[in-house]
Amino acid sequence: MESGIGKETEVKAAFISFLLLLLWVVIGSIASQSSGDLPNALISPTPQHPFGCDALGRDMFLRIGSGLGLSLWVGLWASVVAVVVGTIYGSLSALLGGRIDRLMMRGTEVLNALPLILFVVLVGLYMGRSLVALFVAIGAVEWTTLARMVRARLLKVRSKDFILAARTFGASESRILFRHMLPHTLGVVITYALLNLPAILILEATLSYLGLGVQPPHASLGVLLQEGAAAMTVYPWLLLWPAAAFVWLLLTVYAAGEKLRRRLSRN
Amino acid sequence: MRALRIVGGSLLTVWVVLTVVFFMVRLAPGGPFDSEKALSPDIKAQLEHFYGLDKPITSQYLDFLGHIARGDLGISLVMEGESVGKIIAQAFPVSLGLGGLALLIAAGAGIPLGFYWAGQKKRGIAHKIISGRWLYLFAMLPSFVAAPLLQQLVLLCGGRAYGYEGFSSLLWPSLTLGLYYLPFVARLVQVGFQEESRGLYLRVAQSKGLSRKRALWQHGAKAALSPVLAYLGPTAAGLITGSFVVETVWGLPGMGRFFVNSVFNRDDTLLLGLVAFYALILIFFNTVIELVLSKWNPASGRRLR
Repeated sequence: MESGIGKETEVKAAFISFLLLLLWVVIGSIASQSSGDLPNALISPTPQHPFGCDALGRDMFLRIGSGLGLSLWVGLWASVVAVVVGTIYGSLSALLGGRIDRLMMRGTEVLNALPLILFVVLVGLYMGRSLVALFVAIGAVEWTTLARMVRARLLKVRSKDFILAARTFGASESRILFRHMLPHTLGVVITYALLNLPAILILEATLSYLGLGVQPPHASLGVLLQEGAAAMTVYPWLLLWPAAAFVWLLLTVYAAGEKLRRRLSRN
Repeated sequence: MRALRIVGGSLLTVWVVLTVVFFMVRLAPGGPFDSEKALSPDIKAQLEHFYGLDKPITSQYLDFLGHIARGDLGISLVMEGESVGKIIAQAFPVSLGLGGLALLIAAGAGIPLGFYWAGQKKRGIAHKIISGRWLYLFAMLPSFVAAPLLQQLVLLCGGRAYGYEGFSSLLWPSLTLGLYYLPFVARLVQVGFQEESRGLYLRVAQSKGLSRKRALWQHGAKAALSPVLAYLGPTAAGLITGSFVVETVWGLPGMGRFFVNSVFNRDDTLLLGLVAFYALILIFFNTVIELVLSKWNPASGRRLR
């Protein structure tokens, strides 16, 4: 097995890298320009603009910073939607049991059989194209796996002795659920949410590519990547820096998720 | 008997999916003939009458189910005179070829790689690079970045990087798709084999004289590969029914394009037809895999579902 020191440095590295990303986000969000500076349009990296400028002369370093923030923001709220809906649905399914349980699980299969883009467009038709619609749509797709995990976990915990003990002491059903059973799902849920965050970020990027995601003048990393991919033969830095930032973000999130998963699985 | 129940449940799921999608699409605000250019009410009414959109929604629904049961998916609302069946018949082979190849890359390389990772002892950056963990990078680039990058590479090497001319033009695009899924497959296989390698039955097999690798592969494969098989089902269905981004970047006439366009154009019949087709394929794959898994592990069907 790995030495303890190696593990600690890895954790520290992930933490520091996350702080650096946050710093970038803060700088980008505070200093972000909404209007362009046309004389600077598409200049290559210079000391003043280390990452170059985009087609409207906006500094790429700042734009990537605010894009990182927006991507994280969408990913975070989409995860929250997925976790909340998944936990409620999964616990209901596990507690009601029997025929209703089977029906509810079939329901998640049906949802999984629907193509995602259909969801996003329909949510957009009903709610308009806003950030809220975007994370509702992503959350609406991602919660099914969580519901299954919560349900499986609850079924496992339900037969444990300490639940029986709580019941003999006269604890109410809701107290048993919230105080004794749900905390046991917390570990799996948080780990899954963290490990799934990269998938959500890629999803958001793809939706932005289709024009269904974040709308201008805001730009998530997905939007920046898409603009960069379109111009990469002529202005490679427009793709290179957002792609590097995106990979860095994903690596950090993956690393944090893996660490958490290992730590929890050891206990 | 159990197989019958699995298949029956799947047919039920197909029906529910079709129903949900039908009502979601038909009851959504706006309609196929609401565009920027306002049509005169007369013409709009005639169009809606021609396509049967003026009937009550319940009878539209029954018509829809009846037609689907007979294999008739209707006529596109936007591309005049094109039947949905014909569009699928033309576009599906391309997507099938592309997705099939991608799947072959992801599973064909991912499973041996995962097996190798599971047995690998040495750690550290250098070994990570030699063993191919850098392939994770491909799972971190969205396809709309990876596809144009590979396209530029092919162009630099003097290859053909756009358009469809038979099966050979699918090779490069399928690589972009396959490389994205390869790390996921390899990782699942690795975790599966690592978990199996703790099994006591392996020690028995080894004590009877099998090498460790051979014992793991011969006796542990079914259990270790189950999770990856469950993952490959939906993935395969998604892959062979079209990948919008890759098809667009490489200029391939596959199904992904029609799908996205039908959503944007409100081409309801085409959209419903494509979703029905996708759902059928997805549920077909899931059913087959569920049958295989229940054969591999008779206890899997008995778990609380």
